Amino acid sequence: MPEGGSVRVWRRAVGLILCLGLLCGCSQRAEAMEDLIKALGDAHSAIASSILAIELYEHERSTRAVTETVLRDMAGQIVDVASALESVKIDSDQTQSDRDAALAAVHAGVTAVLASRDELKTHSAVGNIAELESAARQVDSVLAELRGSR
Amino acid sequence: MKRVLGVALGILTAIGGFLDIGDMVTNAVVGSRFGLSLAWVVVVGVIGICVFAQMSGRVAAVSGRATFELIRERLGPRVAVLNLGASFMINLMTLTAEIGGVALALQLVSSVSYLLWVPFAALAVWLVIWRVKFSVMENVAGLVGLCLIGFAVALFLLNPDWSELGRQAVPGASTGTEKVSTYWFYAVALFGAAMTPYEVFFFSSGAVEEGWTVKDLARSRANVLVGFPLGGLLSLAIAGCAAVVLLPQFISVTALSQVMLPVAMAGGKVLLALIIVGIVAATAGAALETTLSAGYTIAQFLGWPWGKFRPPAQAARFHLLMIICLIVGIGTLMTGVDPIQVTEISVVFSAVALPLTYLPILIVANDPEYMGEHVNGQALNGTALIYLVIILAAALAAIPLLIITGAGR
Repeated sequence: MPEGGSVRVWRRAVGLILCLGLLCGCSQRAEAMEDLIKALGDAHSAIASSILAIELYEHERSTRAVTETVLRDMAGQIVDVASALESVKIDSDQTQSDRDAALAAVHAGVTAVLASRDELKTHSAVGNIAELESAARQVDSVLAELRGSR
Repeated sequence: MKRVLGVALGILTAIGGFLDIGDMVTNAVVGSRFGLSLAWVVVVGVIGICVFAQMSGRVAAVSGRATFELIRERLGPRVAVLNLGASFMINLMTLTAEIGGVALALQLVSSVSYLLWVPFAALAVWLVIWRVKFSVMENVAGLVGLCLIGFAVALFLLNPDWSELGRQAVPGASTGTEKVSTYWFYAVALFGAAMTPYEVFFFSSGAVEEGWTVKDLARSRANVLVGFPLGGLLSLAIAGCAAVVLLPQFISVTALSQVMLPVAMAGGKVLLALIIVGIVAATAGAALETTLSAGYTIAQFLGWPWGKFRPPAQAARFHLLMIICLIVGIGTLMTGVDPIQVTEISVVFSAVALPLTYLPILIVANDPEYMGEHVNGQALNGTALIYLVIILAAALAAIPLLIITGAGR
């Protein structure tokens, strides 16, 4: 094979490897983004369920046992979401920053759901759901941001 | 008059006994994520279970023997062992899910962790199987399970936009933010939930337990063709409640407790109490049926004496086997595995096992040696063959979809 042809083959090979590397990088980023969005969606679901359960209980449409069970289940779900977020692979500064924002929002949700659960257990009532609503807003805001940047 | 009452009782029992934890959870999950866009799968699944359950009941009524016994005799032990292996494992998984379902429903009443209820639920199942007459057991569970009509009441009380629900129910409607693969994963899961194999084995063995003969064929048909579709409507009501209340708030169902939220919103504590009673009855009824089915399949394959019509001392191995299955169920749940996840996985694996369950039934129902003049007609065979193609497609797609979607997550 002439020397020029060999150089062209090498260039193509290097180009192909770079393309594959870029694709892998993009796909890893996309995968991390999907994981973050999925986790935030689950966190939203857990917080929204807790708010709905407490509202129904306060309006005397639901029983204490059902409300306690919903809060217990949702506490378990949102704690699992936080653990899942911590294991999301970080491959860039942007992903790190997205993950941190998601984690902060989910931690606010964990604190709010656990507090509501404990309050209902000890006082038979949940004084206010402002903390849950604030956590829900925080989660929704990060979720909207991530969906927008997808 | 007595005959009419008997038929009515059978139909009511079939409606109340149609739903189990798999139907309830899968329909609620689907309703909260896809609205009614998978309602068509429930319709397809209900028609399918009607086709094969009435076939299975007819085989038992005409031959006086349970379907599984005949499969072994007609197709030989090698083919029957494939059928047995698939059906038994799915049945065991479903039994575990049902015991978990009873425990979860009791948690909703007491707020005591479901794990503490698991052994009591299993003990209650064993006591009923040991002591209570078959007809009493079946009728009580089925009739109390009718409380699940509360889901239909809840849907009406929620006063939904019916035209919007109708639009969602059109096949091919948008899957929203969900992926197409997830949509098809849940289509297979719903199909598996509607056509769970234990239902046909229980139906045919139950026919032998109750001593059905050719004279009871009309009753058997009425139970299946009226009772099951009405039970299917309750499935749709569960999905509808979730679609109306949970879907707009982006709440995905991951726990049985969330299924209660639309009910509480619609009908308050009274309706909530009614539904919880219905769930306890439906899951307990299904736990009884799956436990008995576990005993039926193995005992019929090995030629052991079986059935509740015999005193336990005369069917000792049959009863021992059921006790072992219950212990395995308790042990599995005590590891802390989520009963809802067991349910979701069991309905998908049900879909995988469907061809091995339903093809042999079709073969036996066409054998004049057993069925005489009561063999399948051409129309029924045509429908059954179309269903076998659907069943095969669902079975082949189930595992790849499970992997691709991460079990629908």
